[in-house]
Amino acid sequence: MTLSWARAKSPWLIHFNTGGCNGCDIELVAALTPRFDVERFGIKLQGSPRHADILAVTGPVTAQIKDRLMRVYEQVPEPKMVVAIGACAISGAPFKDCYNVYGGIDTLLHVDAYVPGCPPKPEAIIDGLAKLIQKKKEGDVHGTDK
Amino acid sequence: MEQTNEVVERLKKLVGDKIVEIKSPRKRRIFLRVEKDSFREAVKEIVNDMKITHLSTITGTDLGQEIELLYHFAYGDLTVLTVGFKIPKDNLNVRTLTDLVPGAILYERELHEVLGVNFEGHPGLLPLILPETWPEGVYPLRKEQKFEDLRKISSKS
Repeated sequence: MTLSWARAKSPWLIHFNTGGCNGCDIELVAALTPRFDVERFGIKLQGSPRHADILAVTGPVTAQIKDRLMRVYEQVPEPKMVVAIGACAISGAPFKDCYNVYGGIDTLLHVDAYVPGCPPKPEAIIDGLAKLIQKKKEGDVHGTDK
Repeated sequence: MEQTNEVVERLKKLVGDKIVEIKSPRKRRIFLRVEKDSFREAVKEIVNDMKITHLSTITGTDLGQEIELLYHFAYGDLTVLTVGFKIPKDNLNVRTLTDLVPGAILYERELHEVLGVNFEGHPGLLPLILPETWPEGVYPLRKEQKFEDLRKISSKS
């Protein structure tokens, strides 16, 4: 109980682009910076996955980036959460069925929140992150160390 | 329009004997086609004499029997000068442009990887965008490549 309360107060992010066009990344950066300012919820961008709780992924997951994504995911300490930002990260969108694309983060990882849009508005990203925080508060996180 | 025309005239003067075709369909856009053997000389004139040194990208197209390479130079008030030539598929050796334009290094690596163009003298034609396990000699942007085959290769790797 105390743990989940503490975790809900400081959800730190690591952002990873798995082959997207940079559109979602720009919106995510807009959500993080003062105009939309998710830092008021304690959400902060971290430089290393080892310091993060939430893996924010944009892009359709190309064959080349797959191993790197897994490596970054494994470095995030538990309990970890994954948020798929944008249409590509959800399903692969126009790149689905491409020979060098997996098509969506959930083909490889457990995803806790989906933020649709191409690209999603910063408000939508904040909404997705707020829902993640709600999940954290309720202790609804996957992983071994709950 | 004047400025674009001036450049076209200057190009004609500088590389006149090497030109196969030159046209300027609209303002700030110039297409120049040359033969493969005179391409390097033409680029030397463009880079050294006209001081157009920014290569924005190289595009490669599979035309069936030939591969067309288009080198897009950007300069001034967003004018784009495209210099292009065709090479037959049975001889895909082209001299590298990296000694004249260092920025060509990544574009040439990409073309080598997806179309199989061999750039002689390139400092390192290593794979760039395909996964590390991709087999050698499979070029995904060639017309003869079947989509299903590419998917099979990708799922194996």
